[in-house]
Amino acid sequence: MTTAVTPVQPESRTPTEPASVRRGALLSLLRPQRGRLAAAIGCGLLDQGFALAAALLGAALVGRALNGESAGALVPGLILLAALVLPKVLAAWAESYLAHDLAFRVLAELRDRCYRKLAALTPGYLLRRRSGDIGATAMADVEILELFFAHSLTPLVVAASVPPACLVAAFWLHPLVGAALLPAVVAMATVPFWLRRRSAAQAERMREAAGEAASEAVDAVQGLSETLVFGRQEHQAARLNAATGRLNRASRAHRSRGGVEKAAGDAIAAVGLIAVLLVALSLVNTGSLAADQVVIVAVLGGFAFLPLMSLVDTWRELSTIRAAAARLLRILDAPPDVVEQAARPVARIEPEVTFDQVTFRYGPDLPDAVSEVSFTIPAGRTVALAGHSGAGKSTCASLLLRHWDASAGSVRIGGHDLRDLPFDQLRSTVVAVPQDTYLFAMSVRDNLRLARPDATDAEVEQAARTACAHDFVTALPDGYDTLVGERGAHLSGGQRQRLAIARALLTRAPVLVLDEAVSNLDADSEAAIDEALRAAGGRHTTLVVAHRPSTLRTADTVVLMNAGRVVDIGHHDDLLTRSPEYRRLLAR
Amino acid sequence: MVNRTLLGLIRPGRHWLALAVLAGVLVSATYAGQSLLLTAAVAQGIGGDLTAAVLAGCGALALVAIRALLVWAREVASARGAEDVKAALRDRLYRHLLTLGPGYVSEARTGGVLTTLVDSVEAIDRYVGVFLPQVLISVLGGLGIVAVLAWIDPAVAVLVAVTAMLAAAAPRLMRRRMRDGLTAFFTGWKGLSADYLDAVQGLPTLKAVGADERFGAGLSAKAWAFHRDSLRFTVVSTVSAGFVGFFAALGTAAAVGLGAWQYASGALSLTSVFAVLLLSREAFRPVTDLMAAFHAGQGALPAAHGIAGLLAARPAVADTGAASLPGTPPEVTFEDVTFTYPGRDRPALDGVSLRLAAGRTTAVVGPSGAGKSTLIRLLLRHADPTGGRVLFDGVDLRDVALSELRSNVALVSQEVYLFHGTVADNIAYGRAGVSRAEIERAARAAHAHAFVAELPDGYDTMIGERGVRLSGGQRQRLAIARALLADAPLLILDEATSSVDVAAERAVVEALERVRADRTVLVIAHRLSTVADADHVVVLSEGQVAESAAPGELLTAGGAYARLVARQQEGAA
Ligand SMILES: Nc1ncnc2c1ncn2[C@@H]1O[C@H](COP(=O)(O)OP(=O)(O)OP(=O)(O)O)[C@@H](O)[C@H]1O
Ligand SMILES: Nc1ncnc2c1ncn2[C@@H]1O[C@H](COP(=O)(O)OP(=O)(O)OP(=O)(O)O)[C@@H](O)[C@H]1O
Ligand SMILES: [Mg+2]
Ligand SMILES: [Mg+2]
Repeated sequence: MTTAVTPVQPESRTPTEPASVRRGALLSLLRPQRGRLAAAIGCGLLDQGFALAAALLGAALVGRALNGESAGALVPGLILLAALVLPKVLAAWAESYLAHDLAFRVLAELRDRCYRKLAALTPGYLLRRRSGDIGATAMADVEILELFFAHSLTPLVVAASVPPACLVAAFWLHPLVGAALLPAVVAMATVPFWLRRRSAAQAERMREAAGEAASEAVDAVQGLSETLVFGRQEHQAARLNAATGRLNRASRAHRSRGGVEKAAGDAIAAVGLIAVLLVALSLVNTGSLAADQVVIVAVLGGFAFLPLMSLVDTWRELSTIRAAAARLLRILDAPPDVVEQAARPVARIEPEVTFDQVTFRYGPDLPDAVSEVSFTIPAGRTVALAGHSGAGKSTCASLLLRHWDASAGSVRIGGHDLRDLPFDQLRSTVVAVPQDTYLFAMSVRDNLRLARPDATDAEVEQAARTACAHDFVTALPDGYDTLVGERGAHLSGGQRQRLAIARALLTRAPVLVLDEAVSNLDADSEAAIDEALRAAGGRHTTLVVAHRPSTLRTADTVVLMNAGRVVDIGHHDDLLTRSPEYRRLLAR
Repeated sequence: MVNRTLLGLIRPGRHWLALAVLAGVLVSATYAGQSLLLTAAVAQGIGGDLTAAVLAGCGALALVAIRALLVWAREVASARGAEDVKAALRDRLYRHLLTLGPGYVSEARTGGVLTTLVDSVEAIDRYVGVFLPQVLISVLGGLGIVAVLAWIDPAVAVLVAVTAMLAAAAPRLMRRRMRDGLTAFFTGWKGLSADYLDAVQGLPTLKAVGADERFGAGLSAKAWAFHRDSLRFTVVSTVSAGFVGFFAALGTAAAVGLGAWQYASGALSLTSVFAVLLLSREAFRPVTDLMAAFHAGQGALPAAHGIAGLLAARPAVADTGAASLPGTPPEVTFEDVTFTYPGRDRPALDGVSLRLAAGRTTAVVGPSGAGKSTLIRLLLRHADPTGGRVLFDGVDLRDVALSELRSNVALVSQEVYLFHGTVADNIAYGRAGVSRAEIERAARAAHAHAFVAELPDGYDTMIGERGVRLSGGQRQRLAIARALLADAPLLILDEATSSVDVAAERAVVEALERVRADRTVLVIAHRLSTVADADHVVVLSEGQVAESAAPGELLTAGGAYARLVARQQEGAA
């Protein structure tokens, strides 16, 4: 048994972890895309190469014209010049296609990973973050990385090769020409680093604010009817505006800084060009440079900066990219509350559930939500958890699902500690109807089949009948194909609950957890479901959480909890006679 | 490319945007000036007058310095202009959403509305701040430079003007494809956003039924479909950018070639050749800048579609009433009310007549799906009845202003919604400007004070999104406290105590007894113990009133209610 393992405590009150980008984390994603990346960079170099060749050819033509060649002699050169334009455009297009294909592949991959990681982090992590914020990371932050994968890698390589080539050519023309060009090229390359620290802080604030704006918008949309009924429109609008105001202020600073960098880049390029021209002219004056070469110098002076300018343009967003990546990595690197410790499934599991001295708390500085809870559910039996609201009943249910690990004691199924079961096996053994019913914006059938897509229509119907849902479903306009709306908004509260029960039944897992699964149902439906479950014949080992006496009475055993502890265990009738606390709970 | 909806939105930022245009035009002028000065420098330098060349160079340097300032100013002005436009738009969208009401939101997907409210508004940033000013800048700047060229060499000017026009017009050839590509991209984005939000919010459930992996597979398929949409759009967009690049490159090369040829044939001076060389590159800058600006801002076009769609949506109910309400416990009457949800063929309510007596507690009970919550939706005017009417103190609800109606009602709905924030924030949501003492009093009445006091930071404890860090019953009690604090003359409780224990429920009911005297109360509950103390009980079944009388009378009458009670007691015995 692995009870010695120290469980990871969910820190429900820690706000957010510090953001830091793992070095190379983004680059490692490129490994499977090596081929595409190389091809994209090759095309990028070709593009610039053709452009440079065309410009130099043009310059040479001008130079020859200056040297007094006849117009007719220039014609072949002119034709070649026009012919160079086409491959240049094609290379540019190919580069863009390849780089984007690569980038979008990485993004899809990242979104996929993000979801999988979130699934592993559920539900602990979701208690600390807001869904709008997480959604913003999965969509907007990931999308920002497109800038990195599609727009900064090739420019980087091009910028690292074309300007040096221009410099070499300049030095070859005349060392002084090269010397005049060098400082500006170097200065240009440093522009993205000037305001790096400030830019990083701005970008981080900006991405955080964007996430917050999304979170506030989720609250504003999903809480709309509360806002209206309590007349708090102004309050809610102010909250939304405050969040977007923060976003605006952050991006204003970011843009202003970007403006400085843009202006600096532009100015450096111009100064470089002017400097190199003036030097060339003085060289012409002293006779160390031919007059026609001034044109070539002008072309080199222009081309040395072009790749750097476009690099500065994309790298202006580098800090935003890093901030977005950091937000993504905050999810990808978050430690899950539970880790899979067993690789091999256990041969056969007797569906008998044991809570053995289980203690758990939601955070290091929070009180125990349950402490030293022990009880057993024999295979095929039903145990009900009773107790005041907040007594720890749902917490026990989550522990049985291994949403968390107990900090002391163990939860076992058929004698196996939950920690010794692979996740897959655990999931196929225990299913739950959580206290908060959640249906997806899909059809009734798809909602039911979520966990078992291969279930036949007959099986779906059977599960729905057991949950007393079949009748109302067939009365819907499209029967089982009716869309239920977001969170099941097109159904009544009790109808949603019945579908949730049917969904759980359809999985055919031997252990069933029903957390207030019938709280919104009338007595008739409740009794009918109970009967149907019984008729299904002791197939399920069931843990029910309930407040209603009618539910408690039908359980084989009632576990009475108070403030996280078990105070009594027995049948409903026995507890009624012997436990004053139980009578008080039921207001008898 | 210039979109009507978007043009209609720029008013709030017009001053800043005008400034951006001004700065942009001046920037173009400095480019032209720089080229001319450098031409002069080369001419003088080759001619042997180095001092003059250096002077011209210094002039160019001065222009560079001025331009740096202008470039920065333009960036800031365009950011500010876009910011003002976005802020005004977002506020307008949210307020419009409020008038559309819960009916609209329950039909739409949160993720979709969220995209419009956040992403679409962000998407118009570059369009408004960069592209729209650039249109003017490019037109003015381009004309200026071509004019200068024309003065130097008309032939080259014509050549440049023609190719520049071709470059600017080329993308129009692909307009349809561009639009389709963009729309596909944005639709994909919106759908994927909604799916991700749904996934994040539903993950606890997915895990509880072991469906997280399969759901992930579906999501992954959608992410890859979005990859295809993104790529298809990029292909179209780069082809169109490629055309621009092609004509720009061709134009520059042709201009240079033409210049050289003219010089060789003696039609042009050396200085002019140089000017052509430098200026022809500047002449295409407006076109390539415009294209770049369009590419930066094009996401706004489909976004504008979503924005226009939301703004064009009309509320389900018209807020045209003007009658005011006295603010005393009202009498509410449903007169032969029939209501069918859109898309459904059976009425949810079918000829329902009932009366909530002023200052009394009326309970509505009945099987799940009977139409109980629908009654409340009609009472709150999320929709209007298809037949019959609802009267509030004798006034048809349609004649009452919505805000007036709402200020007379407090509600605990079947689906409790708590906001991200502290316990105190959430209770205080019931009424603006309440004191801590009032909050606490409401919490005590809702039987919530004891557990709140035990939370780590008491009333200042953050409860997480939707109150996820509380137990189900704790959330419900906060919702009850919030409704009690609202202190409205009509209190509606829809399954407000379904998740709390019987003892706590008793306590809440007793607290309600005390406030009941001066309120009309409507209680909906399945647990009949909750409604035993009501003055009047209405049994609803399949959208029709089955019985209606005082609970005692109904018990002795031995109808549906008596049977329900017997059923529950038999269960509880
Ligand atoms: N995520 C969380 N973070 C911190 N505390 C929590 C969290 N979830 C529950 N709690 C606290 O743990 C205690 C037990 O909660 P639990 O949800 O198990 O109660 P319950 O018995 O199911 O109550 P109810 O009948 O109201 O659903 C409560 O005091 C609750 O406030
Ligand atoms: N938004 C909607 N669109 C379409 N049909 C709806 C919508 N909301 C409810 N219905 C249907 O209207 C009927 C009445 O629903 P209602 O929510 O009023 O029931 P209820 O009496 O409150 O039930 P419960 O006790 O289960 O909450 C149900 O059949 C339901 O499926
Ligand atoms: Mg619970
Ligand atoms: Mg209801």
